[in-house]
Amino acid sequence: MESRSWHRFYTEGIPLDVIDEGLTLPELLDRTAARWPDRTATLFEGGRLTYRELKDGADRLATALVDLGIRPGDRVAIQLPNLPQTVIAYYGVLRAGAVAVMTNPMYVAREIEHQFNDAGVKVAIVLDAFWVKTVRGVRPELKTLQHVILTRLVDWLPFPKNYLFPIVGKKTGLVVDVDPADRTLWLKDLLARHPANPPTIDWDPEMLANLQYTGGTTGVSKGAMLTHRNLAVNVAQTAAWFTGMVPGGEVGLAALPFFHVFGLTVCMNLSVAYGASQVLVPNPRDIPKLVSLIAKYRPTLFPAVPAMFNAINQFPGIEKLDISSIKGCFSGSAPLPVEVLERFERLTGGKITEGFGMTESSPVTHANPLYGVRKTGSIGVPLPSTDAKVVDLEEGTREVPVGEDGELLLRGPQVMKGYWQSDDETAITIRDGWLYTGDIAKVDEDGYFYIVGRKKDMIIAGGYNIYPREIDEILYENPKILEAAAVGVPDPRRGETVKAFVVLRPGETATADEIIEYCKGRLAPYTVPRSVEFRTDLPKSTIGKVLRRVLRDEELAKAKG
Amino acid sequence: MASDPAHDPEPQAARNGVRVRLRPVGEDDGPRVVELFESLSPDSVFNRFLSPLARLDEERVRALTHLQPGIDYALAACIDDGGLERFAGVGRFRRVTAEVAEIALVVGDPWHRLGVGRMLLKGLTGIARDLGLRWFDSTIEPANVRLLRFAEACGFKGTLKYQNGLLNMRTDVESLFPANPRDPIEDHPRP
Ligand SMILES: CC(C)(COP(=O)(O)OP(=O)(O)OC[C@H]1O[C@@H](n2cnc3c(N)ncnc32)[C@H](O)[C@@H]1OP(=O)(O)O)[C@@H](O)C(=O)NCCC(=O)NCCS
Repeated sequence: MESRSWHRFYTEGIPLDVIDEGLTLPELLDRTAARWPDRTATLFEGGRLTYRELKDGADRLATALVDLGIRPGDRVAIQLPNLPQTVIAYYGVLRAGAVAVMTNPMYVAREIEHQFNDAGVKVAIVLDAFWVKTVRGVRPELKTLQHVILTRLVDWLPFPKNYLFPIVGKKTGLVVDVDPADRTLWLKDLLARHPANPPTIDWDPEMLANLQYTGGTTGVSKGAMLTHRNLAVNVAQTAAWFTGMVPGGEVGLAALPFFHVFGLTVCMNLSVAYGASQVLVPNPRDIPKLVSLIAKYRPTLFPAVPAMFNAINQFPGIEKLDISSIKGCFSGSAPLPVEVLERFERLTGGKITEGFGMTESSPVTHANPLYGVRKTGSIGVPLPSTDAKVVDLEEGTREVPVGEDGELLLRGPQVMKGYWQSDDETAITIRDGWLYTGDIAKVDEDGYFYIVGRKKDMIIAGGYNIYPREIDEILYENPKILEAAAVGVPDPRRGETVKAFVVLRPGETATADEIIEYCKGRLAPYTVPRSVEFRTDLPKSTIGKVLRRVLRDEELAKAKG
Repeated sequence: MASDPAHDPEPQAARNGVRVRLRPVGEDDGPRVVELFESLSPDSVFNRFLSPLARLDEERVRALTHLQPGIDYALAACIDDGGLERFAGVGRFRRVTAEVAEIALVVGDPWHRLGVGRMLLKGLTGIARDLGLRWFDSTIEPANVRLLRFAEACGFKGTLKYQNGLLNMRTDVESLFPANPRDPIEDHPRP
């Protein structure tokens, strides 16, 4: 690509452009399985899956999916925590030529319904506990869904854990009984019954690999169409950043969920493409477990979010544990406080690079050089083959001078094809080949970028993007509510948290708890308002536009005291 | 002004050939306003009200139909549906100072891209000029690129200012519908 101000900060070994091999993700798995067949692909509760076994499982699943009627381009949902079978499921779906729809296990019924119907999901691969908890309840509404394949948490556990676990698991709700009348299929049976005889596919890197759901610009969840090229190139771009990485020689700690695009690319796909072993962490909130896994398996790569680095820093007695195996970390999704970075680097001797990405760009676009100039508070510089600029917030056509705020625009081979069945939204988001991120940023004279805010009205709480419109829509469905507006208010722990302002219909009464209770089950847990304030009306403009900002400003003023 | 559509009962043709007549919104238009609201997609509702209103309650309907003389101006784009009058869209403004009015337009989604928005804005522009207004103000969603394109197509000159998650748009009334450029609606043969 053309030379850019930031290129001189690329440290030795980082190319300006990555080589686009033109390979699809299943071809990358095939290559790794051929190079390192006996190397461990996944480690989970003492059970190991080699790359040979992973490929075999994926090929069998692809064969089974074809038997179930799946054809190239069909959509298959995967709703699983990080387990060995999640990797098998993902690569099996892709091996069949199908498109993976990664689904957040925290989704409530309404969200599942929207996502599965919007994507036209034909087959869903789901953890039995999630099936019982939510999916089963909306099954009648899932118009395109033909088959449900279930798997249990214990399915890939080694003996005797697979026998012992159910006893403990019953108490935690992780082990459930599935009604045979549900007529679901079982992943393990399918793999046992089908040979590894996947279909012959005329591979093209422009084929869709994922429909990755995200709020889009308006907050109605939309599927970002990520192609094999988008995802494979982003793996190469991220790998190019970790200049010391040894193909076939790394151990990754996979604590970021695979259903999220960050974990998908920097944990799962990166490991598979480069033959790394992954230590799977289904529940990253269990910090003692996380720490013990680091001590035991000695991972070298650890992509994570600031909250995880911080929790490890704060873990009692962490100084006495040997966690020095960690060489390279990638931190994303929220700003990393410098104290957290410094302490973690002291404890491990490794380096954390803070970066940036979004679902629409597969996701990684920016990072600070691991061994070069790292600027605090900056998301770093664009990765190889990636271009970025900052333009005026109003029309988005004029590049603003260094140091001035504007909208961040991105361009590169990792930028999605568009939003699934949403040409209008695509046309708004991708203009003249540039992805309009909706983030307000500035760039310094060295070409380091800084995020200073967001253009869209969006709340970021605990690392999740929350669209107030989505909450409002649920509140408006409550017959007691006349008007409602949700806003983000400062929160020391979650960054921001959701507060709802509610106007009741004349004659109605309700309590804050009642409104919060109403939202539970209709909104994903992180989206549910934490507080509710009743008002007699909402601030509006002279011709009736609701001025949410006025409410937010009041809250900000209150927080400042 | 001869071209003031508020007093001009002659229908204009939308791009699909259907005749559209502009007239002021009156106090008994509640049912038509509600019907128009129901023809809006969630995005159009959100863009108009900056809130995903589920329905128009009585108070809102009243505010939209009971206009304060000399302050509120609202035009409806009416179509004849087998003898029944329906609203394809409504445009309105409310004067906030001698020179400034806040403006809002909404066209039912089935009627988008047929020229109805343009007719409404043109009608409102005529009234505003007669009243000596200089600026139309509106607060819009940054994602409402459709409206930005629409404004551009109508000759928009003025300022756009991004503030706290919203775009404040101030339109120079004089800039709208300049005399020379080709106007597709005017070009459309009248039935
Ligand atoms: C904005 C709005 C009023 C436009 O009404 P409309 O009747 O569809 O617009 P018109 O058909 O008169 O369009 C006139 C011109 O605007 C431009 N335009 C309108 N909609 C457009 C779109 N979706 N994309 C690109 N250009 C568009 C075109 O140049 C068009 O001329 P053309 O069709 O000859 O190319 C309508 O989209 C709407 O009601 N939106 C929801 C409410 C809203 O956003 N209101 C504004 C804030 S109050």
